[in-house]
Amino acid sequence: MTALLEVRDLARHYPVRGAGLWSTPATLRAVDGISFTLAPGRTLGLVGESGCGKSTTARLALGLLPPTTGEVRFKGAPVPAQRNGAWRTLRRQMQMVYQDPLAALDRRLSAVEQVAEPLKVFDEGDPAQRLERARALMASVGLAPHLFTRYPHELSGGQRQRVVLARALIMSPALLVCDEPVSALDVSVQAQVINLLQDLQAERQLAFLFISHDLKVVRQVSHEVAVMYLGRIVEQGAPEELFQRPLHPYTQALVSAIPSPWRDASERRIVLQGDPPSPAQVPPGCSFHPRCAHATALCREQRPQLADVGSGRRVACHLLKAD
Amino acid sequence: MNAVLSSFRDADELARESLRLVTTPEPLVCIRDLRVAFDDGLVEVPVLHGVDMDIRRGEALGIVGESGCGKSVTWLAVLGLLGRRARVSGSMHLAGEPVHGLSGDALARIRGKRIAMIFQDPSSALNPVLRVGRQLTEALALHRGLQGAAARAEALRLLERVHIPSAKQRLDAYPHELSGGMNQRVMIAMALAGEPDLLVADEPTTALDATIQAQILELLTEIRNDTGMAMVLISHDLGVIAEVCERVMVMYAGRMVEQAESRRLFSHPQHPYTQGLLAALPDLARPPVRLSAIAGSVPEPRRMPAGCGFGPRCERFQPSCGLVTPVPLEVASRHHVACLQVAA
Repeated sequence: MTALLEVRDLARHYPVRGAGLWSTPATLRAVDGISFTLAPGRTLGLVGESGCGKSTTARLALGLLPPTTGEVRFKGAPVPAQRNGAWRTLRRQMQMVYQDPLAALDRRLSAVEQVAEPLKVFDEGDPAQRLERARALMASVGLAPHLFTRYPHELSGGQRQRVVLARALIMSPALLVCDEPVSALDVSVQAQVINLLQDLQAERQLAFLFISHDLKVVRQVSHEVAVMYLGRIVEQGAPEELFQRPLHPYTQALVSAIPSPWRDASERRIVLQGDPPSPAQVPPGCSFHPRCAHATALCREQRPQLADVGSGRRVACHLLKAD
Repeated sequence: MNAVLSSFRDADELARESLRLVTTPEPLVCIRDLRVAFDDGLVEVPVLHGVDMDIRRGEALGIVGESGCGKSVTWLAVLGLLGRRARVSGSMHLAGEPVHGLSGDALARIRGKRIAMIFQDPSSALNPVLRVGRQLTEALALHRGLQGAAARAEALRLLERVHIPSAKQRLDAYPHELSGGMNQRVMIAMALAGEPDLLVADEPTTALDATIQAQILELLTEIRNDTGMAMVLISHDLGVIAEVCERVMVMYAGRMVEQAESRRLFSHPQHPYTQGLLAALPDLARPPVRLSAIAGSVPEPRRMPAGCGFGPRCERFQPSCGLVTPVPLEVASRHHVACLQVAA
């Protein structure tokens, strides 16, 4: 199986002023050396807390940001970091869906005009054909015809996200990067959009890079999951395995922190102490060691590498290699 | 029992009062027929259509629902925080005493003192240009008349109470120097300053990361166990509610549709809306199955359907549902459901 999206040793650093007034400049490591591949028609879920670098990864993957090191390949060809002709051609096949549909839509265009707009940008068909294609696609994402001419503020949150999806799909992309696509929606509407995403994937062989802080949603949609902490992947594997039997102490804490109405009250919850450190001051050694209950001297000194532990699971933790 | 009661007839009022408390535990907060409408200059748009609520001393009640269901408006109305455009009616009793008119001066000595509230976004609820310690001592002066060193000592004790590390230094910090989780701890400390009988927490962990959310929920439970204060937790997240609350109330489009003990509600939901909400939620403990979504979306307040507010989205809809607004009925012990089809 050839990969659709291939990311190798990708990093993005920003120079920042350190803490305090007279401090020396520091480096913020938003993404610090991650690699993954995504096959056509599959979903890779990226999970982690705020500041872990999951959204930066999305922007890097699309070539919206130039990487500091590493490279991104789409269908075997490198994704240029400059916005040149080659990049524009590639971008037709890779589209993005953001968290807040109202902010992603142009408030002065009706829904059907927004959906048809990419066709205009890439100069495809005449105006009547464009509107025809837009209407057909909007119907296929479950929008009723009376909604087509409405403006974004006249639509509900779920309807807006459907418009955003239709607009992203009109160029028939192979990859959809979804950054928290259902987080701003109510629970009952969330389920509608999740089901729609899964239907679209099955119909169109779409690949998703699915970013969310919500583990329940990620488990629902993903074929593979990567857990990020401070710019690095700490654990990666098949969702059922990973959430049933998390191996990395951070994944264990994340899974245990999920509130659920069906959770067994006798299960002891792992409550991590403290806040995640700033990505501008990543701790030496394993970056999770200050919050880890099992940290040893080795964890404080040496950074663990992501290593295969069998059945496709990869974990970056010294404690697992000791077994 | 009558003989026992009659023997108290001549006893002093205190003794009678205490007996009454033992035999008929009176709710801490009793809200009846609370209605809220917003005046947009042209018409009054009703958003809360008569909500009844009882909260017992020390109890944790969860209120769950989607955006626009009225879960927050209920408490903003009770505390007089809605502003001039809101038309509020209904009654509230706090520990048996009527709170008249739900407005003005009568609320000032209750708000923040006997009923405290914390919100979703702590960094916008705190004053960004004042140090944390100053904001805490302000609350202590207002609610408990503490001044100077005594207030500062109490502020320090409160910060330590909410487990803020190196609390002494944090007294001099500004909100922007603290993380979201720390700021929410400061908000909780401020809410505790008045030693309230009831803490209303409106989506207290929604803006926080999963591991920080777990910390704050643990803290809230710990404080409630220690102080015996009652708590109302407002959330869209059924999991968060299940974690903390003994009783749950489900709201939809400005009405209460179901309430029951937590365990009962999550294991035996009766109202089609509650059932739909639970079915729409992915469950990590079960193999992933296709989610069953509730069709459509929440009605807008100015386009409310006739009869049952959930009618147009309901799979069990019958013609009668479009005619009559269902009232909550007790279907099992302490389990109330407002649905014609469940009642039938």
